[in-house]
Amino acid sequence: MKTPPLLLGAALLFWGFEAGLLPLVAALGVALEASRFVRWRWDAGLKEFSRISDVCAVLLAALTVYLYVTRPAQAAFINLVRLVPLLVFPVVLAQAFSVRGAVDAAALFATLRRRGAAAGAGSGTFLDVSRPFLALCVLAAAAVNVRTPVFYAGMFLLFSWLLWPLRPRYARSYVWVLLLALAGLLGYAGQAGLHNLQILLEARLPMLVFGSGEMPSDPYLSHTAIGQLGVIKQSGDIMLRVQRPAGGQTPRLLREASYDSYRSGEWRAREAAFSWVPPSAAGEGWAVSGGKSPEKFLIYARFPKGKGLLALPAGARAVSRLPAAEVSLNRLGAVRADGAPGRAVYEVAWDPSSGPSRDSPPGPGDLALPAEEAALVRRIAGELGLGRLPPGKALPALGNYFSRDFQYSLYQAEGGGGVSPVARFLTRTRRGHCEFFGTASVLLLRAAGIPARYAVGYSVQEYSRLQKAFLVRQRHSHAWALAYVDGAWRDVDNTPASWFEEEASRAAAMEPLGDIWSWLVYKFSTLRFELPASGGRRAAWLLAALAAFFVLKGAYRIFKSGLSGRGIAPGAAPEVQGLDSELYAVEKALAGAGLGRRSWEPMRAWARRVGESGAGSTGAAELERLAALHSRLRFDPAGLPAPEREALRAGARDWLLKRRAEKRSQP
Amino acid sequence: MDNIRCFALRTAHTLRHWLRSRWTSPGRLALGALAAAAVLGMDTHSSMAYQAFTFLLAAVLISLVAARGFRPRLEAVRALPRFGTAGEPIPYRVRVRNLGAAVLRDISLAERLPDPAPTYKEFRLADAPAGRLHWLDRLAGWSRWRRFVERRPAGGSEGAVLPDLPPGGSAEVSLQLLPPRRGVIRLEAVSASRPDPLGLATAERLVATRASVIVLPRRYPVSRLSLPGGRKYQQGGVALASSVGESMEFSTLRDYKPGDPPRRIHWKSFARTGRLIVKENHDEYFVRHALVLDTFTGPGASEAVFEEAVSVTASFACTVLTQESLLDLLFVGAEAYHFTAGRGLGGAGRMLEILAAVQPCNDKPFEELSRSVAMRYRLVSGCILVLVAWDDARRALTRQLRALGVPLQTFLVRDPASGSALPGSGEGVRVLETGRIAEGLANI
Repeated sequence: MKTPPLLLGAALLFWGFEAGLLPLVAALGVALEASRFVRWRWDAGLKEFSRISDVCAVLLAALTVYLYVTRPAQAAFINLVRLVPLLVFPVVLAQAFSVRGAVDAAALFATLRRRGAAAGAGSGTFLDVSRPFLALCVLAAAAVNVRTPVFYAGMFLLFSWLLWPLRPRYARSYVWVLLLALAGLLGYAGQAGLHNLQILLEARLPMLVFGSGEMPSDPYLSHTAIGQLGVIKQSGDIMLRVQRPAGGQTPRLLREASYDSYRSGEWRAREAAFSWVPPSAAGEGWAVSGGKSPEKFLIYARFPKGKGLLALPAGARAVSRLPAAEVSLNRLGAVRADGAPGRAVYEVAWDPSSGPSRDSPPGPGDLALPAEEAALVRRIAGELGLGRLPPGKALPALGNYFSRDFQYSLYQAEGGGGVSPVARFLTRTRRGHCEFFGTASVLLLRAAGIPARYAVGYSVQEYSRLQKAFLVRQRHSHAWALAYVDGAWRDVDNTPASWFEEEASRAAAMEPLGDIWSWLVYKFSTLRFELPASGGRRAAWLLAALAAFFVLKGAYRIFKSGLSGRGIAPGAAPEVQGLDSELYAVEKALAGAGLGRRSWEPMRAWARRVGESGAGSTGAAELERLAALHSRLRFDPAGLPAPEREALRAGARDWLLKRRAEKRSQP
Repeated sequence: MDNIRCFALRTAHTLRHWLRSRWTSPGRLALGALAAAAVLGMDTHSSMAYQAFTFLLAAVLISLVAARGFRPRLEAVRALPRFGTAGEPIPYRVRVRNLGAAVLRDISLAERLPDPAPTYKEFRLADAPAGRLHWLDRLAGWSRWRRFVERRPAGGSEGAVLPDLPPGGSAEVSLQLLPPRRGVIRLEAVSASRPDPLGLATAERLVATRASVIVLPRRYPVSRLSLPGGRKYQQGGVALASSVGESMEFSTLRDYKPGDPPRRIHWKSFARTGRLIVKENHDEYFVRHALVLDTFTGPGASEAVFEEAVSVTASFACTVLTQESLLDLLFVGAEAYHFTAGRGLGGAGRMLEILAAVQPCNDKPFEELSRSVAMRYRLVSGCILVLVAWDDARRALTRQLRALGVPLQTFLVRDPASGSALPGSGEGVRVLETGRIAEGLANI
């Protein structure tokens, strides 16, 4: 069944209108619809369609590579869909003007083509590509994303146009119209509902937007493992790679988010809405705080679903080279990127001597204590005399308290007893992981009247010589306190230094293998960021390498088929029996003398005719004998026994030598 | 691994069947576009594909609901032949009557064939097609699955469109079965289908009508076979061959000897003489051949080889039975079977029916067949052995038969790509290669 007249042209125009390519697409539409008025047809077979589809496939592959290396993955996919109708158009046009009006499936699918080649034919299945092309035009128009009602109306009209001639005879026209109108109304209401639902979910459930467990930090809420009994297990998955320039400094802590309100093992960020950060004038990056930035380093990070919080050091000033659509910042110093590729590299300009500088000044919330722990932490702060010390001395005193009396442990043995986990940590167990130390530090500082916040992120300590970068694993995720001292925020990390060794001792035995795989993925994915940065030169190299690969592969196939065709492999018979007969060389030699075999003439009849003509005087009887052997070689199912095969070979060679000698002797 | 493959392929098979039987061509296009729009429109901010998704979803759901209103009352009667041949279409007619009160239009009639999907056990035993397979194909097992499905007796069928049927009216349409393999096709129902008013979904109703057709093995042309060896004395004589009862030619009377059957006592002479006298008949001599089919394919053996061996046996059965001789078909299935045909004892048709149902035997040793053949060697003038493999047990059987003086024609059906063992040139075995069987038989 064909598409109704002018429908394909209309679909093309619809796509062209949405994509802003109307003049070009109008020309294509006219060319396509001209097939209904032009009688000329092209007798294209499998070979011709295969060539066209191969060219389209190569163009598609090249465009995919180009879009992938120049855009984030999601944007690359959408852009690809936008342009696909243009790439497959040659196949549709060839079908429209072909005699058969359909494309052999073998021309479109390599597996079928291979199978067909083995059987010496096509797949036997013919496809009409016009309807899939129609759907492709509509999807491509959708991918252009012009947010007007024109898209819905156009799609509805095209669909109705396609279905109208195909409606069953028994169905009355008004029933058909009513049902389709109902589908149109339901679809329209549904699309509005779907879009609103997504907006609602994004606003209400940020976790859904940020999604998976790969995302360690939620900018609004941090569930700690405080209160959890047993051993806390964390994996060795590499979350970040930090590359510093030679001689540069490496930040020890990379913060993703900070929180200001604690209750029952949960830290929350109140009134921490993100605000958009304008890109720099040159459009190369985003300034997240003011001040000088003498140092730079690179971070390679993952952005599940294209979104994530940036891990930044305390003195971060600006973020650049990040292929993100948008960067935003909240008052607690969390920096969020949207529209980034799944894996990306960004450059951080920072001042190692500066403390956290992108955080808002403290408010009353930064001194608030949870009711459950308030009395205890005030008592301990009083015992330590923190409140009486100037803030500059209170911090080392607190550090000494933790380093003297506390130990790092990932194991919590006891629980309950009507005491909160933090209280138990401070009074009984005196053992815990970084979240205990960070939370206790914040609460004690607040009890001493020093504004404090709770920060989460990563500790940077493990250097890989192989990868020439610091590896930051999931088990290096860390928590610490931020204290506001002398008019500036400072990182206060009171977790005992032994924590890193303790964590490292729990590394899995197979971790090095996982690291190598992760490194290979990293090398591959960084290609796409290095390529555009090199001004397209590397992209050209990559495309050239791809082209060379396909050329070499093609050459190998031709070489391989040549080998089997010549029958060099011992015992390998040619595909069609007897085509390797040497008598063809004799026939060719005589054709040059005007004694060629006619297309309908069997070899033996030709040999007899040559003999009777007297023109090919060289061994007429011998020629007939050779023709008899040749016929057996070609058509005897049992083939020609080896001695006779050899006789044919030798006979033909001798005949040609004699003929050459005769020609030379003629004046 | 095979159970995961089988599950995945079965799911894909069910999905494919559902798409083909429950959706029209525009409906399948709408479903494809719906899936593509679902992927593209996942994020409603980045494209308008979610609008296409909701519209297509609404259209598809409306079609599905509208299709549920199709409940025709039909009666169908098939005029189906008893036999067909593997690889050849079986045309037949179906008379359909409208028992309802409304005119029926746009109804398509098709045969509802049994589900060809293999069970896990069948899939595990199915052999992969010869030649190199794509690595993905090897991994997924698609070719194995397809090959199995294509080789089921009920391979495919061609439907027909019914003319408009007024209430009480009837019409006759031609349908066609396309059996690729021998066996029995049991048909349970024909399906009447009609697209929904939007033309996307297909409403289907089954009309129960049972029938079966036997698909006989494919046969190859075989020239008249000349097996050396004379006629053999056949106890029971012509009676065995052509009719039931005593119709033998009388020869003489003699005294009773212990061991003579009592029914041969001549009671009139006994009454006259008082001695037990028996009557003797002329001996009967017929040409009687044994046609032996090797069903011992062994685990992992090629199904194609076995099918070709059955076809070769069927070809000999047809050829030998046109000659004036008896033919014993011997093979081992659940037990050792022995069927005799020729000279009025049932023709080639009966033997082909048996061959249509023969199955490989993998739970008994080849010696079962050797024993069955050796027990009958005195009766047969010659023996045709159709083997599916070559090993010591088979070599021993051919040597034993030759040693017993039974003229022998041995054929080994072999897959050239399998690399299985070949008999030596002096062992008198003709090798027939799969794919070139007709050529091989023509050279006999």
